[in-house]
Amino acid sequence: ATSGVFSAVGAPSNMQGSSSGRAGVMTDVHRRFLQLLMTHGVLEEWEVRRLQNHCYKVHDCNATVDKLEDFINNINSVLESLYIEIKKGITEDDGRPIYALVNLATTSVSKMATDFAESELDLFRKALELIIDSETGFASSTNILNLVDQLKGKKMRKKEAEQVLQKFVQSKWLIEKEGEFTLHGRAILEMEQFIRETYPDTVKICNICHSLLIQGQSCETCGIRMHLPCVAKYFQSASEPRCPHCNDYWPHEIPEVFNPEKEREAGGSKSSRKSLRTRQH
Amino acid sequence: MDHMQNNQTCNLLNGSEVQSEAGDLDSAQIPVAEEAEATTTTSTEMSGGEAPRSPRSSPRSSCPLAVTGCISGKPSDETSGNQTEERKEAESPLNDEINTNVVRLVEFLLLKYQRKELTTKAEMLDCINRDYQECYPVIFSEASECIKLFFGIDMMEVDPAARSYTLVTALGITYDGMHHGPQGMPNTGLIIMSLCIIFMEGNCVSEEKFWEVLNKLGLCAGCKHFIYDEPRKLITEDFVQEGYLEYRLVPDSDPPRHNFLWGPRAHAETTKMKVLEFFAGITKKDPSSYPTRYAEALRDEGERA
Repeated sequence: ATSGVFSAVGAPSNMQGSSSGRAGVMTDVHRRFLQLLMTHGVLEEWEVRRLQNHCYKVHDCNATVDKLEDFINNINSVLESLYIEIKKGITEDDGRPIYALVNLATTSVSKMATDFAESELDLFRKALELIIDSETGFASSTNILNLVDQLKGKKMRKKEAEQVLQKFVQSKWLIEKEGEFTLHGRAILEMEQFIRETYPDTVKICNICHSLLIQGQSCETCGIRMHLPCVAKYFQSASEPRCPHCNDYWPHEIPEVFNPEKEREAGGSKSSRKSLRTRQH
Repeated sequence: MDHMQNNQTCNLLNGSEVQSEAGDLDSAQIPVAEEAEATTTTSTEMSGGEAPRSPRSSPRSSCPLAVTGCISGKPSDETSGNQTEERKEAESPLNDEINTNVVRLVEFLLLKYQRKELTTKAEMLDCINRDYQECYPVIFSEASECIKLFFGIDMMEVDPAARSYTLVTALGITYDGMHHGPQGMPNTGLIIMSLCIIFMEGNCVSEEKFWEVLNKLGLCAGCKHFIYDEPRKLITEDFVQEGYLEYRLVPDSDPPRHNFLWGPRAHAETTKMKVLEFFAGITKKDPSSYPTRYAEALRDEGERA
């Protein structure tokens, strides 16, 4: 009776992108995990581990908890046919791993579309453009608010726009630092493809990982850019950091590689971590 | 409110039974704490700055949603043979279009689920390519199957006249306690306890009574508990905000008094029977030894079916 939509799962070799050697199996543990991950929007790696444990405890407390990477690959191999996946990224400022459930098929800001009104979405688009165009990856509150008159949809006053920007920060689409806004890791995870397709001329790319770059460091001689965590990894054991492209001396402070072990010892709260924000480009 | 039942909960927890009750509950609470603390410490090598995935340029027309094998967990060699055959079957243009629309509808439903909103047939029809709207029944049924099997989400008809549906978890209470309370302490146990008390006290309990019972179980409104920091705020604000409890002001009460009831999310995510079974488990009795409540829970099951 079905139109061939449901068919037996194939061996991993038949499926693109699946790296583990097992066929995907979906149980209540995985379903609950997906429900809760969706509810939270984006989670840091330690939160994802805790969530995974919670799901096992609730549904299958006798089973051994799968290695996180395998657990996620398993789910992704099942969700592949829906063009949905659990995507992993790292925060641009301090290299923390984050996870979100992402639609691969849609290339618009559709995930936000149900949460915000037309004028609010347009405000986000304007902020996004300013952020992408900027040298530092940050757009000032003033510059964003000055565009309020150009928004589609219901007229918005600056005061309202300020509140909408705060809504974006609370729902983890934007990050605010000292009156300036940049994209949250979640937005980058979800919208990278959309951004690269929509702003092909102004978009910046990291020289090391070749992913979208919003915040980072740049070489003053040849102009190539690198994410802060990519810089940290690349120059980790270098005595004298040099630009990978033009070999000139790399003039910026090299950040530390994110260490989850150290994080746990320190108590795990984000606010206690000194995050390095380099604005020199 | 059932007055007999009112005292029943208290009586159960009075006298010599208090010790065992409280004892049971303490031991019921300990797994909750353990759950929170036992985070895995395996440090896997996770590489930062992943290489980008190449965008999928070719549409996945040949291998659509793969479900049955996933659920039964068939070993891969068994199913690969089947799959080649079914792939060939599935490669007709109509199936492709239906698949695409199923995917679109699933995406829409997931967004609705996250937003905790109702949806209607009209909205769902809008998602579907106009040319294929006559295939709506098939698309709808496959999308429902999909979200149920992959995400454990049930689509329940709320109003047959308005053709409106709600999306709820099929897996019981979803709350994982990660938003509120001290970091790392899931509060699901406290929610369930609260729902128990409310149900056992006749579905609506005064605030004073509620705290009296909870007090007997070792939690009091004003003081800090070793697991549930400030239960008062958790219960009257956070759980209410999450939709599990209702904190209703008694009209014309001076000084203002409140009652506790189940919130909409509790009704959607669990049942009276499940809560009764939980409570019976704590008091080490059979659910049917609470005849009024048991009858009510049975009626509730009947209505839901």
